[in-house]
Amino acid sequence: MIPNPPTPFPTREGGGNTEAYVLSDTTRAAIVALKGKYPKVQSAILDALRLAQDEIGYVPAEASAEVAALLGVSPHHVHSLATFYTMFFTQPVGTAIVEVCDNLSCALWGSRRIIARLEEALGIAVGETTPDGSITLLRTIECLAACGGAPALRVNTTYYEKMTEEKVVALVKELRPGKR
Amino acid sequence: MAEELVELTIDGVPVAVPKGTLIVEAAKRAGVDIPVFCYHPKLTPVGACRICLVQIEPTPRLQAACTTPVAPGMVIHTQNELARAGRESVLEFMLANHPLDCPICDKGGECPLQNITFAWGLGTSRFREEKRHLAKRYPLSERIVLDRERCIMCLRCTRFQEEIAGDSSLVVLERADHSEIGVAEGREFDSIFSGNTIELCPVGALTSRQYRFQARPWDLDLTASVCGGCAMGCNVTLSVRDSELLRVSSRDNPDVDNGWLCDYGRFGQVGATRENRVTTPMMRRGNALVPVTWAEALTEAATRLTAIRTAYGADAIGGIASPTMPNEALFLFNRLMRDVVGTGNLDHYPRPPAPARDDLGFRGAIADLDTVEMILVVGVDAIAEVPVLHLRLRKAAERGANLVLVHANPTGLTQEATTWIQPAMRGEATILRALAAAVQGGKRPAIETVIPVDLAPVVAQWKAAEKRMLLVDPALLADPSVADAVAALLPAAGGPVVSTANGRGAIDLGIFPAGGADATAAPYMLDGSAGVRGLIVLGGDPPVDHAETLIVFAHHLTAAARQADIVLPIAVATEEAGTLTNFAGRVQRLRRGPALPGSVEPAWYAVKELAGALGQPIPVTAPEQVWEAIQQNVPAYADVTDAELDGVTPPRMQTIEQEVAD
Ligand code: SF4
Ligand code: SF4
Ligand code: FES
Ligand code: FES
Repeated sequence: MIPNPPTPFPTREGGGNTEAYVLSDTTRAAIVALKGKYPKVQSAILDALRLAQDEIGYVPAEASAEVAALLGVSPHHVHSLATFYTMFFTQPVGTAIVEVCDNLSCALWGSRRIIARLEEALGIAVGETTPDGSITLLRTIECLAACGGAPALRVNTTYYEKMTEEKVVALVKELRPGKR
Repeated sequence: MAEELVELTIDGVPVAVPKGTLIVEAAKRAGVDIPVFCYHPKLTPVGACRICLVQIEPTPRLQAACTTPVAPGMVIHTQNELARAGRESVLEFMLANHPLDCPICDKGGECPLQNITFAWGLGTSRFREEKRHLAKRYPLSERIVLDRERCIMCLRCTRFQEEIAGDSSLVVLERADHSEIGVAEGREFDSIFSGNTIELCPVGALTSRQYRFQARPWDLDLTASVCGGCAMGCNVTLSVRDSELLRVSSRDNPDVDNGWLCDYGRFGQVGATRENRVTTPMMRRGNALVPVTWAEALTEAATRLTAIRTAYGADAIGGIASPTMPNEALFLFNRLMRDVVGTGNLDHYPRPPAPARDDLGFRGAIADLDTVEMILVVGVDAIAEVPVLHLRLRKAAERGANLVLVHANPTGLTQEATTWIQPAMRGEATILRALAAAVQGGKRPAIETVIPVDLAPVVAQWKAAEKRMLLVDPALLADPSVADAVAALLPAAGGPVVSTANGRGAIDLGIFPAGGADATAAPYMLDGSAGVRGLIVLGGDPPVDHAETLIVFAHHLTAAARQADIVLPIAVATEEAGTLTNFAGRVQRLRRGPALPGSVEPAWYAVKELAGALGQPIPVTAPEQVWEAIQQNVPAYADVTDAELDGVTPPRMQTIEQEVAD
């Protein structure tokens, strides 16, 4: 087996063309417009990924590839950033994303029990999404910088502090579809 | 400019090193061995692995020798209790999750992790927990397989792809303790330079699929040679077991390859020894080629050639050599055609259309790219033609050299170039003429008046630059006005970048039609219009349209070989002994790695045998004798020394210990 034919050599820009676009023309234009914004085009990747996620709700592989092609950067590098930053989701997520702090202060104030109660009330484990696709119990998270209100959790961008098992059950009811 | 020296002591040994030197490099000068995993002299230090921890008085905390520069009066300990304990702990943590499947690991025997654990490790572990399990045997591409459990996250591979190859085609996914090496979803590790990461990886995480489970390193015979893939002439180490070529790896030559290879040179050459070979002489009987002995094939060839010569004269015979053949074979082929057969119908194919002009030879050396201020690249697509040259051009651009690219299409270098001038079709010629005219000032009127781009800044830069290099596509030189333009620009270093492995050698050795006669150039011999009835083809695969008698010296069963009346089996580059000349005119030694398969002979020997069969033996018995004759006959080669021929690094295993010892 010759693993690599002598010619043609793959070029560094190999691939990158997505046949079917997953991003809208508006988003694509906005991403292209980012190019001139930074001295190095690589710096625009995070902004571009955010635009992609805003549109689709997460960043599927096709969207990463599209961002790479639009900015003219390595698709591997884009994927690397998309997986590095926890605020980017490479899998579909629910509309409500619940993240529970289990760092020191919150742990001392009982975050373990909060997590167990959440799992029970939602019927899913950490890392999963409810079958109706509405709520993702995304992960336990490091310090939310709300130690004074430990144990703390976050739903999307809203903080909930001094959580108790009762408050958690009430919160889950509130997050169910139709209730928001 | 005198370098400012900093004095310090390492393990009691005083050293003076230039300001800014890293401790790890200073230690090499002091003869002190500091183990490293993530550090590599050609990559940006990241301090990722911590194995190089040393104590610097009076700080009680250990510091990384690979990221800390020296300071005056530093007193460094690498062997005291603190440093030893630090190293032991780092190794203990590293092995906490390392699978230690050394018995089935290709790296075993040449593995820095094994060697450093052997030298500095605790020999035991306090971890009782189950090791982490990750993907093993994860194919990243056709060529490379990843074992994530073995990876120690030194980031050498990703730094190489980002900093040296410039394509970021291998990256870190996820973060912190979830980090793993990988590629974008649904994609491959698709770099033409990917094989270098196998050598850089200090563990068996990245391994070659081609070499996988083929040998233990201590069973390998290593041979120093050069790559026969293209005109770069990268220095290589051939690893052979039981007479078979199993892998090709680097052999650092700072004047040529800087320690890197492309994947064709690394993997393609191994495949080339195995597949589609011609291993025995063959003769056409009816429609089929049937195996015969060398004696039979040579006698038949001589009889047929003699008959043609008697009936139609010597000029009814022609010879076409491949510019991948070693100088020795080309030199004897020249003798065979001109002296033995007695014709000037001799050429190499493929070749640039222009005849060689003395004032257009390559000046300076590849290594000049490390110091020139300005590089003008016209019509050369390095990554596609001479891949490792692309890395050197990138490096020059990274260091701040002004890289001006003139190319009609985007090439691998477009993004690195300071300026990319994109002329219309065939516009490279126009640009070269205009540049030369402008650089020469009032001496000559500009031929072109309408040029779509403003060349003034480039002209100004070219005039201002003290050290500059011009790299030009030799095909452009066919037009005499372009050749004149290049000649005018060439007091700078550089010249045509002939891309075939020994294309430059073929030019230097005069493998051209007699008197530069175009009428008998290779294309006309091939299509029959040159009146050639008997055609002798040495290597390669030229498209033969017409030949009454076709004799092919073939390394593979090519289209030309399949058409032939007589096939004589010859060696591929890794099986040859001889020399190749790279595009910059550097002559380098090929050494035979694997045994010759079947009744294959080296090309020089096969050519000599045909001369003998034609009744005029050439009295040589070894390629070294042919090289001596070349040195006597080719003025440009007269002064080539053995040291130049051999390169600087002995053949080596794929491990980093040698680098530390350098
Ligand atoms: S795969 Fe090898 S080179 Fe790459 S980070 Fe892991 S250990 Fe280092
Ligand atoms: S750049 Fe050319 S000489 Fe170097 S390894 Fe690749 S094919 Fe061989
Ligand atoms: S530890 Fe939970 S918010 Fe700080
Ligand atoms: S931290 Fe110095 S060699 Fe890795």
